[in-house]
Amino acid sequence: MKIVIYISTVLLLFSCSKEELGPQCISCNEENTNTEYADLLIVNEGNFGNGSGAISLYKPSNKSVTQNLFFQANGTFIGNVAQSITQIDDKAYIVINNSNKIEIVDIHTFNTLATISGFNSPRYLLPINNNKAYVTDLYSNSIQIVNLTNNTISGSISLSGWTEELILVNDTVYVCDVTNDNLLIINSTTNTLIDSVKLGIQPNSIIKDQNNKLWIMCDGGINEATPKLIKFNPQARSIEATYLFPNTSESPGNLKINTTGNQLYFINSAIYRMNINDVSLPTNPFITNNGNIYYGLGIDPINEDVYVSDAIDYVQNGIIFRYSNTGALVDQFNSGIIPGEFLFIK
Amino acid sequence: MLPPTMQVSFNDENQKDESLRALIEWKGLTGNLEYKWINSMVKNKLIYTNTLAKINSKSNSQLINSKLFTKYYLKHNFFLSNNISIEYESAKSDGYSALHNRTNYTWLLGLTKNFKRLNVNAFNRFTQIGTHSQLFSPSAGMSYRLLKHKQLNIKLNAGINYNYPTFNDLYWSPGGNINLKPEQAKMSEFGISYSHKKDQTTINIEGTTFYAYVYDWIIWQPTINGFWSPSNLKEVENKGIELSLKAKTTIRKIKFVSTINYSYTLSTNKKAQSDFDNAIKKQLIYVPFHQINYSIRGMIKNYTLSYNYNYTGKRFMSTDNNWYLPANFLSDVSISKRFKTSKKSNFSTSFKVNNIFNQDYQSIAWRAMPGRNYLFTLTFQFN
Repeated sequence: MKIVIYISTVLLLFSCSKEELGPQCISCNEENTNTEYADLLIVNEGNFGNGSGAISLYKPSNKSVTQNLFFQANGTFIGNVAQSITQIDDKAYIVINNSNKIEIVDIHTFNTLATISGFNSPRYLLPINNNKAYVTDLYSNSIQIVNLTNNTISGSISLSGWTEELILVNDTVYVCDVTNDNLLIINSTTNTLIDSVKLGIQPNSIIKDQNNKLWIMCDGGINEATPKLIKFNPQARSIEATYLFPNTSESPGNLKINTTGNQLYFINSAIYRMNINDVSLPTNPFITNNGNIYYGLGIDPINEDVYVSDAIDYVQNGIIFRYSNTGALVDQFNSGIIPGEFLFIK
Repeated sequence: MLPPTMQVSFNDENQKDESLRALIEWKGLTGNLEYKWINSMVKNKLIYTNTLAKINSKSNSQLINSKLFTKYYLKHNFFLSNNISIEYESAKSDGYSALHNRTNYTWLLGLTKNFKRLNVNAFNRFTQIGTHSQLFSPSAGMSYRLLKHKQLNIKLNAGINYNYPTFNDLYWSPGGNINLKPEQAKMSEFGISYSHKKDQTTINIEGTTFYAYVYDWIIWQPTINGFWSPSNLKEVENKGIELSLKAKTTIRKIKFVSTINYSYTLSTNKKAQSDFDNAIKKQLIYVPFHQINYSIRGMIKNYTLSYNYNYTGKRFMSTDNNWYLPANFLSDVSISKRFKTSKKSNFSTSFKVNNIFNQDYQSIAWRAMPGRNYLFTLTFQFN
């Protein structure tokens, strides 16, 4: 029985190895870096359920990249499916969809300040004033009202279905209602729904131009209808123009605008740029996709550089391409898993 | 009720599975013909509900299968195998736009010949899955005893295998891809084994190396149209070694059986899907390099005491191998006793402690697994 005794000894040695628990990340062991004005934060969703959501930092000035800011500052992972990020003063509000929470961090050190919990499936946060914000939701049939002073949910506005991106014009909030294909109009003083306007199938993104007109992208669902880009007049509460995409198989999204508020950008396989005074949709892409599947889009508010992500196979660190405002490739670098949203620090 | 992951504060997911199985088997021997006929039916029903996400999804599937295995002895050491299987599959799910069914035929034909120290075999498998037919899927093997009076054997096997897309791969709406090709795997293995018996002690040692290359590996990924769809996107190389050692002995009326298995697997992604794909030449996710299983059992009279140890090495969670789950090792201990109640029946009781060292581990990321837990079992057996 000498053999058996020998094997038992080997197993004991195995049992004594260093203990690690739960997912580990190799690129998480980099040096921590503080962020500054004009830096780019990238929200990496991570895989559903497996907690690989992370924030990457890119400094456009020297092209340096730092991964996993939240983990390095706090020693814990941010959670699963990091959906969006919003800056309010010196704080970043990171919405973690499947973990039902919002993490508040110091935007420079990334040290955690507070956690707002009790959401259902939060998507986007919009500050209304110094002590109030709205949070849209995938499943809760409501918009949550957040008290920014004590970081709690103070109430909700009952709706039906999935609410996505939202924007504030004066004291009125305009919300993409994906389920019912509506633009919801909410009085932010009384927190009440005052009107809803039918758009195209599945409005997913909304921005405001230099003339205070709203632009909404409707992706048309999965082969349901032709996608639409809609120009909306908030004063008159009416649609001013509708731009129809030619095919139902197209799925445009990620509508963004430059700081001046006159150039629209969006992804529709390739990246398109369109002036707000153009009478029709652009036929030629601003940047072709070169076989990549573009996922998220960001426009640098200072120099109008275009950042676009490709999640590759959605189970590895994605890649970010940086283009100048003439469409020339400036840089490319890896971020985290499924890079979806960009924030330029104000 | 499905438990939430550790990063979710609450959820309300339920899954209900119902399964009905029936099986009838005949076997016999007439002249030179040995046969076995198996008929089976499986009905499955799955209901998944998620109140948070307002999902209520049902799926029903059914499988009827008839298999006939025959061996025809041309000589006492030379036989023809002829196996025929006919299978009818049907499934209905909220994820499909219609009810889908297919009939699958498999016909395996082969020859096996045993010489004094050599055994050789060759087979071909014909398959038709739905409308897709595959005429050739050959395999061949041999084993040879190297020494005349020692149990030292080598074996060699090679073949081509096909893995067919499932109904979900083909028909899930949206995304299902009816143009999927079957995955093709070219496989080979070489092994050497030795066994030795002396007095009360038997030792078996076996080592195998394997190599497989899979073409047209099916994988689901998002498309430019915003939904997920499967395609024959990858090529995977699978190679490694497996070692096992088994020892049996009796010391002072206590019978000991001890087994150790070790495997080393390299499962590598060989095809980049774009210039920026960092998954190429990396280990596939959730496939550990190292795995060890060790068990020892001691038996005296009607009592059995056993210890089982399982080691699963580091497993990657991301295809670029940047995220991983650390290795885990689990130990279980059990004691059981068998009682003879009559000539034709007996019953046994066992008490088992799973995860005896209360190891924290996750089989899947953020899905906590049970700590130390106890299991008490009663088994009745009638002959």
